[in-house]
Amino acid sequence: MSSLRDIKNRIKSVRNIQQITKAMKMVAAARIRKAEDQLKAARPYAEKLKEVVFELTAGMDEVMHPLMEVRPVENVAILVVSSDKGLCGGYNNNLLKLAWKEIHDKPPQKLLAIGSKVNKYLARRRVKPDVSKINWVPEFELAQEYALLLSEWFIAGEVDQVVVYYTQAISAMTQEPVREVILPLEKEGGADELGSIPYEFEPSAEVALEILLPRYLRNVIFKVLMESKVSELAARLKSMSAATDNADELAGKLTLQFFRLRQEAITNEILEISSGAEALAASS
Amino acid sequence: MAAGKGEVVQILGSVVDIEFPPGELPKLYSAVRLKREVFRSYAEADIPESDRWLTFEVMSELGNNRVRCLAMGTTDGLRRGMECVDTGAPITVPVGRETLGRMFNVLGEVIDGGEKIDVKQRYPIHRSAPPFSEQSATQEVNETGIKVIDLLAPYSKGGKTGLFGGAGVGKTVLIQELIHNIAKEHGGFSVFAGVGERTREGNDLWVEMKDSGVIKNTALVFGQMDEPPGVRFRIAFTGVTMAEYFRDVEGQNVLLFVDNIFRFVLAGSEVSALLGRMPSAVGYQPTLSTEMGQLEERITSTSKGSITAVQAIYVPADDITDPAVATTFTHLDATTVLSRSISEMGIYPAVDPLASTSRLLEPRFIGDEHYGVARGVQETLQRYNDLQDIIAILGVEELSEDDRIVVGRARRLQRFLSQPFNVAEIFTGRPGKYVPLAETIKAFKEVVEGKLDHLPEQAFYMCGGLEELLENAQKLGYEVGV
Repeated sequence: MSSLRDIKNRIKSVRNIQQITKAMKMVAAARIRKAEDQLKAARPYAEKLKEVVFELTAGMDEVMHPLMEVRPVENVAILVVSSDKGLCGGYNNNLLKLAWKEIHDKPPQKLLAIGSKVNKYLARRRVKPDVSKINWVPEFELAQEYALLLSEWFIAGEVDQVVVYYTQAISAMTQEPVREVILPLEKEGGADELGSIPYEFEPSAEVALEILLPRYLRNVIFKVLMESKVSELAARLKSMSAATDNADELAGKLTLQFFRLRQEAITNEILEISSGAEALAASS
Repeated sequence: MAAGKGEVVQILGSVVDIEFPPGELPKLYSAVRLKREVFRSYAEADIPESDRWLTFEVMSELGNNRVRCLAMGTTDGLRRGMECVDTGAPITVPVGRETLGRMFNVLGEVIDGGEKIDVKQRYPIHRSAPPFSEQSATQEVNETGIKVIDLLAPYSKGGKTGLFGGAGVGKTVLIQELIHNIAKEHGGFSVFAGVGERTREGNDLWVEMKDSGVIKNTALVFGQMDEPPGVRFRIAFTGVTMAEYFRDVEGQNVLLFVDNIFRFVLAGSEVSALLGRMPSAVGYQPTLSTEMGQLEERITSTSKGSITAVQAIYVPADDITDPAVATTFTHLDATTVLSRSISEMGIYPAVDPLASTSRLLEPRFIGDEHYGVARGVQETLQRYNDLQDIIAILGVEELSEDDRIVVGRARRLQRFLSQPFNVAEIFTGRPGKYVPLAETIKAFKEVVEGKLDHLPEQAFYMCGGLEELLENAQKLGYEVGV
């Protein structure tokens, strides 16, 4: 059984933890709005771009651009996007567990790790990523950098496929780790539904694609980064508010125990003093 | 009044004042006897022989030729003016091989309904503890076949062990399993003292011992819950006296089981105020540590022979700092603490692996391997304990990877420390397991080193050694691959 002082210390430490979780929760709540706005703002552009690219490529039979070349998959590049900081529940764990299966079973040709959590995870398992980045924010420049690098590898034939692992923000309460293939760019047969209007290219389709496809790739990666960030913040918000509640509950339980113990000690002392006094009075 | 005869002048429950003629006062601790009068509605023959006489023990002298005595039986039907006889000697009990296989009360009378024994020698129940020069202590581990005890709080041959536990966490079951495991293998003599516990348990034990044949090497003494405080106060001495004979005269290694030392303290506390003593901390008698010392110091090993003692100690309100418990602690070589939180998890024996200790848990006594494994187990469990609050608040997910492994391993260790008992087979439906020390060390080494982290927690629960664990895992459909 713990003493009064032990319980007091425990209550104090629980309250301290609660302060941290509470602060983290508030920070996450403030940031998630900004991140969500950013994601929302980027959406129309991304959608339009996708539409245009698909419409463009739908009518084409042969491969018009090296980024669309489908080859038998031998070498893979894997990009994993995790968070830099913890205290966000199972966010990183779930993602890394999913990614690790592939990384472990079929070691990729190139491995790109964004976020300190994935880097630490890999370091523990003695896997050295080819590119690693910590302290990241979802910036367009970052997406640009990776898009260039990946398309370079892909075009040079170093890798035949680029896979990205990230966490998708489905709603404020649910996030899901997903695996997506981003290169080669897929052709989708969606053009017909849109009542395909044949485009005319000036000077040519190749030149248009040359400009559009890298942009498209860049945008896909940018979206991955933003989704990751939003999910991270949502996961943090959720887990920190649960943690704050748990801490409340625990502190409440401990406080009750504390009061009970204190009362017991007081009762005991009164009992001893009064029975002692009575015994003395009786004997004299 | 005739010489050596006195008369009852005051009756206060179990405490009776007796007046003797001047100059004929009985000595302290001597026994005084009184012939009971028969209630009119009974015939004398209806009263069993043992109840016809009531024995007192002189506890203090009051002045005015009066002595204050403690009754070793009920004081029902007593009245003032009854005649008492000073026997001139303390209470004595039969000792020697005649006592084996029999059951006695505090006065050394046979209570198993069998025929009287032919007593060759009697010892007074008050004797002094062996002097320094004769005491000796071996450092040899006494294997019990119970994993958690052998590994974390090994018992020593000729040492004293305490089983601490609150109400209903399994002290008596554990002590019975120890009797089952040690007394059977032991071959030497054993003495069991039932102090203020359930009469039924005494009967169960007696029947069990008769079935297993251990009874022929065992003497049993009982002063259970139904007895007045005087009996419960002195019954432990009766048991110890019998054990001492085997130690000192026969030079044996005697096993002594006492269930429950706390009742001895409680009986002392019941009569303490009646004897005119001021209550001390938490209402206990002021003579608490003296009384405890008088009893515990006699349970020791000497150059002639040894007493290996296992004592159960009830912990009131699960408060290990209770004065009665704390006083007992200091006398013991090994302590096994049973904890409520562990019994609530369904892990039996509910031994608290972090609170239980032994003097033997040092590399020079048990060897480096055993020591290393034991400390490794404790470290892992301690770490898990420390992380409890964080897990409760933030969840396991927030722990670092190392800590998560520790948590998983600790949970496996916790379960692996459980073990099915022979004496509990009728309750659990699982046959009891005796695990040799070497196997215990080997199995726990594997777990601590993380070689079994991939097996499900379930497989670790309620099994014996490593082999059974692997079997369990296989049954659950896991690849064992060792």
